[in-house]
Amino acid sequence: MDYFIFEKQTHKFVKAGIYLALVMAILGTGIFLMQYGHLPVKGIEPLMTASFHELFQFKKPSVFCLALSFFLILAIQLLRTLIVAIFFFLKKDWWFFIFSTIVTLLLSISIATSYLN
Amino acid sequence: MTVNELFLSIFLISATAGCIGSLTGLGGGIMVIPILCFLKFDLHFAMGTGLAVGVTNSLVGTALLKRDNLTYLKLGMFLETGIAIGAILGALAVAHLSVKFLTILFGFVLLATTFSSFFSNKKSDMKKFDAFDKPMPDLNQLLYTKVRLAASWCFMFIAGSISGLLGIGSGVLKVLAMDMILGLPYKVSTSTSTFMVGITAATTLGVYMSHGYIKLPLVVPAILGTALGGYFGALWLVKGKTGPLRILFNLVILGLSLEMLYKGLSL
Repeated sequence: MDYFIFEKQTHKFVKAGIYLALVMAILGTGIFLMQYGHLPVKGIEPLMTASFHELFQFKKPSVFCLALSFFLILAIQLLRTLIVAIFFFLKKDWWFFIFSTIVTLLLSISIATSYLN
Repeated sequence: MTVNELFLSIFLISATAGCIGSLTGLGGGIMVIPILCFLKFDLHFAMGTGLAVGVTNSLVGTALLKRDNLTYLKLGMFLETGIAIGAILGALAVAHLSVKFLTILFGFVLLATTFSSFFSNKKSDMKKFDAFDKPMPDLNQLLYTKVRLAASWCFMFIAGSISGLLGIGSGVLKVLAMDMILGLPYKVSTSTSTFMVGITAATTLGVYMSHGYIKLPLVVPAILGTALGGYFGALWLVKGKTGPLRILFNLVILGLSLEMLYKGLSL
């Protein structure tokens, strides 16, 4: 498969992912504003100061949706680079497999570190 | 200010920034940061929000807008190694640098980007521009000019560091390197740059998150606003007459960059 054709194929995956993330963000924002919209900004102080690891422990569907939409966007980027690495592996294009693996590793380390912090 | 007002204001700011970013070809992130700073938001939080906007813009631009995608994956992945390393180092340095330094640097980068956008106005007119305005070089051909590849890698490392330091995707710098150093066709450069901006911004975003610069109530409405604004901006760019508007918006950005410089110098 040609590289450009492959890139066009991955569009479908990215498109589905970004739509899902945007739907989650709209849903989360809607519910969140219905619950907390009338409060002053200081009323959501715990949410403003929480780390992403803590956000998933809020046990509020709206916060969960908001956090998930954001992580979906990061996950799509990560998966995309991973797919490119796998593609180069299948093409036995070793140099570019190494380059894309380095990028995937750097991206995943960055995301994982931030989540755990 | 209530939560409703915060969400609405961030949404409107980022929708406007996304639209202007699409029309001027600067992207959303670099637009959101000066506007948020202008409205007295903390620079670090503005930069974190700008990064989230950069990732979204890249995904929206790649998946929803560029139907004639011409991403040069091989070159993109090679150059991205330099950018990602630079971006992580830049993002790690952010916590140790003063707001004054970052504001002045941002002002200069915004100023340079605006001038670059001014002079490439004709090129970014998608209606008139042919996809392959230059012959497409094969990567094996490029490998023979190792000096050029090494130069573009170094340039990308610097672009990545700036991206990490300022919370922007530095798409304009990437296009500049691919266009001027490697001689790629313009649409291939922009498409590959859009692809790379997402990875750069996502890598930087991780480090910013660990610094605590990413605030969900700022980031999510910004993502929604930029996705909407960027989408309509790009549609407008393709279908409508945007020449005078783009000049006007470039002047607005010029004003914002001067304001950032003044703010930085008076801190």
